[in-house]
Amino acid sequence: MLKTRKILTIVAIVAVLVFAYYAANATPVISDQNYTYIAELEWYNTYDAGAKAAAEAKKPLIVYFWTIWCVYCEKYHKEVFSREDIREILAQDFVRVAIDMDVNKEDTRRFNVQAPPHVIFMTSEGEIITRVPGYMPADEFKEVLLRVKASAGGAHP
Amino acid sequence: MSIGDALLSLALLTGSATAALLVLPHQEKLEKLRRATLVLFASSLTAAFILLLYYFAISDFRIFYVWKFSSSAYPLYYKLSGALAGQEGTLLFWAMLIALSALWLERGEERKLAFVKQTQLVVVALGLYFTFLTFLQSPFTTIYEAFPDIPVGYLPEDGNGLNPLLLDPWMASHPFTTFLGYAGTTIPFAGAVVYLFTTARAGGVEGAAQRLWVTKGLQWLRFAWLFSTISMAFGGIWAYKTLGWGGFWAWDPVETAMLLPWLMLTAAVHVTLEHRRDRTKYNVLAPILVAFSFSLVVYATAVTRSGIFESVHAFIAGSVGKYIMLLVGISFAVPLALGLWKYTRIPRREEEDEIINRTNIFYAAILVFLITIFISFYGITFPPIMKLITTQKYAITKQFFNLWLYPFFLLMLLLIGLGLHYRESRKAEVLRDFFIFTLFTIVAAFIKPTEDYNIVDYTSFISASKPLLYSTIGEISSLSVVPPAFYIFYASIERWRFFASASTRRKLREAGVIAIHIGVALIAIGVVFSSMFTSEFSVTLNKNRIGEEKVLAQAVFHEGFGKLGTWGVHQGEVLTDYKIKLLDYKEYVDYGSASRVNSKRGMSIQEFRAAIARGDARSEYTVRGTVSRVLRGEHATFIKLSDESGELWVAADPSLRVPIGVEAVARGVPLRGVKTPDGATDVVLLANQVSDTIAQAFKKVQLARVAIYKGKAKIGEGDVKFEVYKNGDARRPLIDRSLVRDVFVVLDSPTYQGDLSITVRIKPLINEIWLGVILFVLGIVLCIFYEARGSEK
Repeated sequence: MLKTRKILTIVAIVAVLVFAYYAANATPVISDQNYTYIAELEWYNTYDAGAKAAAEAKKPLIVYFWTIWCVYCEKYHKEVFSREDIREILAQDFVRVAIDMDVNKEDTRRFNVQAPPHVIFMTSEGEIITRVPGYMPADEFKEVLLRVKASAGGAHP
Repeated sequence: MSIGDALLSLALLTGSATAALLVLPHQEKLEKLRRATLVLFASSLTAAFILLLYYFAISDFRIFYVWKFSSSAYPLYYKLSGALAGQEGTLLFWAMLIALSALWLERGEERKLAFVKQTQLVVVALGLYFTFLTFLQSPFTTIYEAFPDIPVGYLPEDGNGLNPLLLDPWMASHPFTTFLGYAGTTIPFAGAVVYLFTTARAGGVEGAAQRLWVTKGLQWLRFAWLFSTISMAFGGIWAYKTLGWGGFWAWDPVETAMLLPWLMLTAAVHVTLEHRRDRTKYNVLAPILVAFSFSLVVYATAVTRSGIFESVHAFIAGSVGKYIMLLVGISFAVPLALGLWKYTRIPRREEEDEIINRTNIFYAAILVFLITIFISFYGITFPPIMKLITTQKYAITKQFFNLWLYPFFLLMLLLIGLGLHYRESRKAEVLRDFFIFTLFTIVAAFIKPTEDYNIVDYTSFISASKPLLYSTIGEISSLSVVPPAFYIFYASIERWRFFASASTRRKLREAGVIAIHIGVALIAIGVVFSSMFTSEFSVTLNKNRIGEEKVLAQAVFHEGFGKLGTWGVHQGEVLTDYKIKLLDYKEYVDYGSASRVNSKRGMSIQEFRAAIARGDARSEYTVRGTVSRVLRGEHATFIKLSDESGELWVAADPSLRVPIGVEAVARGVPLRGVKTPDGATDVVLLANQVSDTIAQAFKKVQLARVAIYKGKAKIGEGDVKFEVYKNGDARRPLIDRSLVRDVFVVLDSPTYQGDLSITVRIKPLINEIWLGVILFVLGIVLCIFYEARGSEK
């Protein structure tokens, strides 16, 4: 007969294996080779990919610098980018780039970004319109979005 | 070669000699030599570290490491803390502590035993390894070696400085406590490895000398445990105070990596105590867990420094990462292999086959602990590995840890209660209580007045998909932490009764044990309630409307079709009875201690003029003074420096920004007979540098004084600041503390068109965490001081 402690050990090992398998399958993917998925929108992973798309679509560019552990980034995702009206503007009028600062060190250095979150708005030609370092609440952020949209020209004069 | 590198070379030499002499068969005549080399090994490393501290104290910016992490504007305390701000200094500190541990083993008659000698050999070998790493990446490298372009003899005006967020007394102490704790695991590791090896070789038979691994190791384990606890608390307090998002823990990979050795130490201390009671028990598991505490310490360093792992701390990634990874591998593999070897060599013994007894309960608790360690380990190790294999990035966020660890955390708390209460003689009663509290816990897990009680917040974007098991665990009510916490209080009181007639010494030790566990219960309550029931309000005030009051509205989220008819997460607002009032607002420039520092540098204007008149052959001058005017031209910025002795115009780069009223130090070449902006003809200093020191300490501060009301009662008042430094921003929140709650107010971003974007958080019971930590620390101290003697069987 198996001893109690042996049974406990086996139960623990099985629990750990089940956990590892389940967690590996259930953990959501936030980014793959081309896109990052924030606020259920597709964001390009690199500036170059975004710049190319912006030039083709003649839309202004939002370049968002973030990391997984940054609390104000989560606030951005939750309270700003996911808000219906803002999400709508982002989806319709902007080409989106999300730079994970832990992964894409090249673009982080290129735009000299020190800390997440950090947003840079650019024209479709890649000219910087404005920067928003740190967090900005939804209403103000929307205002900036609309002004950028207006000043960048684009589809809605 | 510099003095520092010479000391490191001496340490390498004497350390190798000590190791070699320890390997050689024992010879009386070599004993003296061995002791001498060991003392030299430890003292050369200590001298090297003191030298490094000295370089920081005098701000010797010729040393690259000092330049990188310090500034002459800092007070001494922050200067010295720079010594552990980077990899080079930490490795040296660590090597020094390990060498000192090896020296500690020289004490007493026991040093002559083969067992102690072997342990010492392992310690010296580890010390040598770290010395070698320090040597590879020396903290004594000069800027001339680091930047070959810099002309030799050039002395930087000021250092690069620390990130302003790190300028905090808690953060300054954090690395010192961390590495004291880390280094404390070295002797236990060495003792455990030698114990496993020697007893395995002897077929499981252990002699009296082998027992030393417990008697010597246990106090070191507690020491390591104590300092790991303190260092995590310091880190948490710092994060809460300075990062501005109002939390003390974010499951950042480095935090998690630091939690791993702490958890392992906790398990190791318990198992080792159990092994001490009865040496036939856990004679494989105890040494393995003890050794793994050290392995996880090295792993934590690898996570911070190797650059493979992603985290806020990784900005100081270094080049010795691969050697640290190698040590991680070795330190896991060796004890594991030795443990397995020993396991196959010891004769199996018959166990008492009772399902519920002390041994089995204890064993179950240890297993639960090991599972939590595995989950945390997995959480930080899985994403980088998957990233390497699939290029996909998996979202392991705080929700992942909260979700998976919470059930085990509850089970652990219940088992702590049971363990504290357990007496073989009163088994039936003890078990009855255990089942009652377990039942309460299960019932409490279902009591949810609102969705806010769910332990995992699904409004976060990352949990967009909800696997069944996740939503099941995620919907456990956070009230479920209350019964287990009360069980621990209850069990502690019950336990105390058993010691009513014990000796004072025994009582004090027991008080330590109880304090530790009550501390855990308090921390559990504080952590769950402060993170679950924080009310958070975002509000915008305007700096021009002093005296304005605003009712705080809470954002609510729901998923469904919104006003525009699209599916998604929508935000609404609910008004509360909290109010905020803007009492005052101001903006100012704070020069820190820069002026004090500068008054010691350079010459006064009179001295400068006298030197010019004398026709000094110097080509460059450094002059100090107060900036009284600034004129910005196309090709130069003109700055007028003044002091009691006169005035002087300085021409500098057009991009230079210096505020009026600052004390500045300008360095450059004098140009005679120049027409100054005043219209006079005078000497002008053509500056290639205008004091960096000012800019370093210089910060622009936006300060709002606010008061928070709940109904009519004022619950908090104070200053909230947003500081802009040369090398970053810092939010300085208002934290109004009380035993029931903290009122936490933070300025989220710099003023935008006069608007102050403010977040107010009401965090209930958060101070119970700090109270719990204090009890915990006191408890360990009591256990260390009133260590049971002669309680071995």
